[in-house]
Amino acid sequence: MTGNAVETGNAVEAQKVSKIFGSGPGAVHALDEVEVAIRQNEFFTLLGPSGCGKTTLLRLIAGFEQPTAGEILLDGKPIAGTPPFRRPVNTVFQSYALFPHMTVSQNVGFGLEMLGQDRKTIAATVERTLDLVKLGGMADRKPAQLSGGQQQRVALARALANRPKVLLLDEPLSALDLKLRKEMQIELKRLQSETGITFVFVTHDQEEALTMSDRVAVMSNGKILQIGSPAEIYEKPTRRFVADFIGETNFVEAEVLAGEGELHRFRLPGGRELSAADAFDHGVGETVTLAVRPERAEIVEAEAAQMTGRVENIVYFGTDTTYHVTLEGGGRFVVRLQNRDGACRLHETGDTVGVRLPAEAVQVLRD
Amino acid sequence: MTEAADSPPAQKPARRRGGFQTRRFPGLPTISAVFFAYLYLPIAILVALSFNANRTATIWTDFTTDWYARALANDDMLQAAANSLIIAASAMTLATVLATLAALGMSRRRFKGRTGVTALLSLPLIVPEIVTAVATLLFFVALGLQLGLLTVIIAHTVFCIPFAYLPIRARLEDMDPALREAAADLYANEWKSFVRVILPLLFPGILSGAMLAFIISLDDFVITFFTAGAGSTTLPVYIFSLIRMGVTPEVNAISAMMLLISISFVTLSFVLASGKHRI
Repeated sequence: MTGNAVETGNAVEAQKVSKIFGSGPGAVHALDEVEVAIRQNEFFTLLGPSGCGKTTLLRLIAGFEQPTAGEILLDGKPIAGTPPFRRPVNTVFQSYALFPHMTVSQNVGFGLEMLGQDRKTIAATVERTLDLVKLGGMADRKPAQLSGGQQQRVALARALANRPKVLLLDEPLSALDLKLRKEMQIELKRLQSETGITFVFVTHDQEEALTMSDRVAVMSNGKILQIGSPAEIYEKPTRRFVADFIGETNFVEAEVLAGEGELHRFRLPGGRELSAADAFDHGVGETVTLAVRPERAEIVEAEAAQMTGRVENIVYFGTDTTYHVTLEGGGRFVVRLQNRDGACRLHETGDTVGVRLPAEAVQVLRD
Repeated sequence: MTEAADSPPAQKPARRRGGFQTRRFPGLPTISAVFFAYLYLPIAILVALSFNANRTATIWTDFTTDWYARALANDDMLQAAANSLIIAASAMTLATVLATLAALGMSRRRFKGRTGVTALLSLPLIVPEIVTAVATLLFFVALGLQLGLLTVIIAHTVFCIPFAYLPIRARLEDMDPALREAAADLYANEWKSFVRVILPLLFPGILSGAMLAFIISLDDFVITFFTAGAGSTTLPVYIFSLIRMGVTPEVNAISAMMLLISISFVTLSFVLASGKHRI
């Protein structure tokens, strides 16, 4: 609970963790053999749609639920039998769960008081922590007298005051309005690097996950589909769900022509060919899904392109413009071009254009 | 038949359209007035007569507080009032403690037969009082218990439990379940979590339940009548014995005082239940 020296090893580790709620045919498999290792001093995000099991995993780490199978290690030690009040982790709840009958400073000092620290130390820590979250003058107020954003900071301070090994955050920003949420994103990142505490952050907001995290685990249906840095998750998704959930993506079905060497050859729906790296070494003749981000594709002359189509729709966004292209041979493709030098409308609706997919822009998916 | 739907109803509203509307129901204010008069007029008259200087109830002569003075100087009445307070306070304490424990236990986990236990807890609200009274009396006799204050307290505790239980349970259900988890997360074990978080937040509900239990016990007649022995007469039983000799203004005065106590307690209970600090 004290000290934040950089330690080797993992802060949290889940080994084949499963959680089943209920039993019989109505049983819900919230987590299905989840494997994850969260490093020391890392801002780690569990990202996924509601019901994907991300909150369940957080609650297992906090100790509010027990895993049905598998083991959770905290600092390398199994914590199966340890009740929540003996775990060196603290939680920021989605509903904040501030104690309404206590003042801000009583709330923030609660954990330290329970740990048996003396009044002076508690008062000093509370003051320091409130300053850290910029709530200096609010110490004597009751939670009901604070705005949503301020309550959020109190919840944060209450958890941080104890200097936990791991801070668990359960969608803490979901109740805030957009502007405040953006502010708090930066704030959280700052607090994490200032305190050096490992943050495990749960969210369904992909933007939040990308902007704040050191690493992200994308979850769906109780499984972790991919773990990686925000850039890896965005640029190199390995699964269709990941590519689809994060940002906008074009999916193109292609046939594997040759699977040798660095770049593999694929045949696109229009009949033309394309080279791209395939991390999964699909066999010749297999059908694979290619994922291409709209901003990574280019619109070129029909002859120089791998696919051709007709511009169906143009949407202007200020910083960029998206072109919705109906491909020859079916399917839609979206290309996003930056609006530079006032050139905001390079093509018109109805134009026949070519879509070029640079090799480095194409991500061959596993499934 | 195709008049504009939004035109206000004319002198002869088309009754078949728009269904039955309580607000437009003709004569509703009158009926309500009659209803409330029926409920409260007798009580109002009783209170008024308790200030009547004339002994005969039907003739008003002068305003006086003599009857109150006389009631308060009546030793039998005071003894009965003291019994009532002892019984109500004891039954309230016992019932509230048990009800709090029950509410906490019931909120903890879903278990088989939970609905059954809830039903059993609130059964005393439904069982005819006379049945409970007779059964309790037979039970005490079977046990060989001497009828007295103790037997009345035990009997009262039983039927006070559901009244204390309901507001506590309601308060507990309003509470964010994350508060308990937050306390545990902040290193509070079960006991500390209860003392520092659950109990203070539950307190308005507990107080409200206690008030209700107190007043229900104070007002009870039937069960008390059956389970009270000599020397443990309560105020309602004492009033009943007075009435057998005719209604005197003194009885009115005693009743009015009981009414005042009841109203203050019930009001207090409501104020506390809808207390300032919402959860």
